[in-house]
Amino acid sequence: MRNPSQDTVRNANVPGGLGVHVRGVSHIFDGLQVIQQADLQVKPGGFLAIVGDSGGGKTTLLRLIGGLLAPTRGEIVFTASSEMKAGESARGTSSQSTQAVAQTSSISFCFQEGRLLPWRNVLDNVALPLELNGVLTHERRDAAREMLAKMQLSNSENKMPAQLSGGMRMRVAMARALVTRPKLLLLDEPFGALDEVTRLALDEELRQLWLDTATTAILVTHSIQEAVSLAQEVVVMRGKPGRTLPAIAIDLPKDKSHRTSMEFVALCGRVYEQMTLQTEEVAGRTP
Amino acid sequence: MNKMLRVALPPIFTAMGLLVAWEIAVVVFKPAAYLLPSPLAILRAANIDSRQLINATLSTAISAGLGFVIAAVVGMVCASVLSQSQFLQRGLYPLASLFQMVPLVAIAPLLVIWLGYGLSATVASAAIVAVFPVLANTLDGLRSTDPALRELFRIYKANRFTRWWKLELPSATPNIVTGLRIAAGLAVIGTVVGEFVSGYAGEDAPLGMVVLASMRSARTDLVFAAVALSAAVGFVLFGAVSFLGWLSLRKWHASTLSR
Repeated sequence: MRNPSQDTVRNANVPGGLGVHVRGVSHIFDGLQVIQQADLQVKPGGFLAIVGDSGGGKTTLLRLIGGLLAPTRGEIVFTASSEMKAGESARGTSSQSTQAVAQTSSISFCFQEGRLLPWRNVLDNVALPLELNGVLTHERRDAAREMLAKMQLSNSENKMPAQLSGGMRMRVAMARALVTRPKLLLLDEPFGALDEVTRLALDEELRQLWLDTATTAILVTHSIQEAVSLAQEVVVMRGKPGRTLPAIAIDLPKDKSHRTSMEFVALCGRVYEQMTLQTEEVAGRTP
Repeated sequence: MNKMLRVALPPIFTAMGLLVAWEIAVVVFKPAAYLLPSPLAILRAANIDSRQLINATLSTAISAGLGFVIAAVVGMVCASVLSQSQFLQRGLYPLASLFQMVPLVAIAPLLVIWLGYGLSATVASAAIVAVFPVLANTLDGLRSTDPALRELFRIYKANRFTRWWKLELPSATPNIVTGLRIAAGLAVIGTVVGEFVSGYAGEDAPLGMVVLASMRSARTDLVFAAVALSAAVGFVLFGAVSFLGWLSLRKWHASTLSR
């Protein structure tokens, strides 16, 4: 189902992301069943969105995928992209820090609150993942500067988080998530606290970053439009405890927004339909 | 500069006003000198005995400073250790609060027995009085680390020490500063009380001894002078700690940002 136009916008020299396969996962947290049954799949370098009811286990599922929790039942399998070679630098020799950066963790998170350290400036916040992995000071700051330049945040290098707007803080958080060149990027309603205009702008920025870095992305969101606009597949999670419904393929080219096209509206409609199914139908529709 | 003047001038003017009122009251009501000397009389006495008073002030200041530093280090280290274990907290924290509750005047003689007369005993009494606020506030700050940020550090697989050094400690800085400010004032009190019991009279007598000796010879003017000087020591220590606190928080904490 791969759209030919997607291949041409991707740089073939960039290593691919991790593929993720969630099989029959259920999870009990603190004695409470949070996830009834979750099944989903993302191919390496793909983009998946998860939408659904509040409290339905979406955030928990993301944490399970990210390795913060171990599923009570079921398994989560990761597959490497065939384009990936261990230790190879990202794109030619952009900087000496690439080798050190490449050794750091391959899964990154992006949260709604940003979660920047208030006592550090932007540069040191973005460099944090590298610092915690033992990368030397000037190497990690170079890598952070590179990332900030890429996102046009260089002017904010020395600012403190308290001096930034919500949208800027979110962008810094994204820079931090991407500075380690992750192979899997997990986003938990990253733009939920922002106004619509900022949100639309950040959606496009996220799209561009995904296209440039070729990482795998899984986005949990409340916004159906955001999901359909950015993702190649949308999974709806319903009920408490949640179960995943069969994924809806989004057959639109991912290099642009297409929010005004008829196909976009129709796909949003399909997602909406799944979200408003009656409970018995939910139980019946899952495989 | 203007802002500093606006903050500093009102209390200065008020204090000066009070001193003038005091001087006038003494001139008018003529109380006995051993009951209430006038501000001018105090200044005169201080000027005559200036060398001894300066030595005494230095002596007290050094004791208070050392006691404060010891309390700060011990308090922060103990709080850091306790913060890592609920078990230790439950066992040791209630005992630590004993430091707060035992009256210093009662244990000061014990300190003299163990440490002898002089500096060690006064430093020890300063440290004992000042340690608990540092410990309590630091522990509070360390335990209040934002759980969202804790999770962030878990994602990056930071070990316990890294988490303490790069997350919990910086995050607790506002609380630590509060504890240190309280401890600064208490350290001076602890020093002077310790000096009552363990200080020695003579050339090197610290302020506490000057107070006692002056009291015994009904030299109330010298008592006032010594008390004023020990308050000054407290002010300076408190001011220094507050300034350091302002330096470390000014860029990011809501308490110092003007918005």
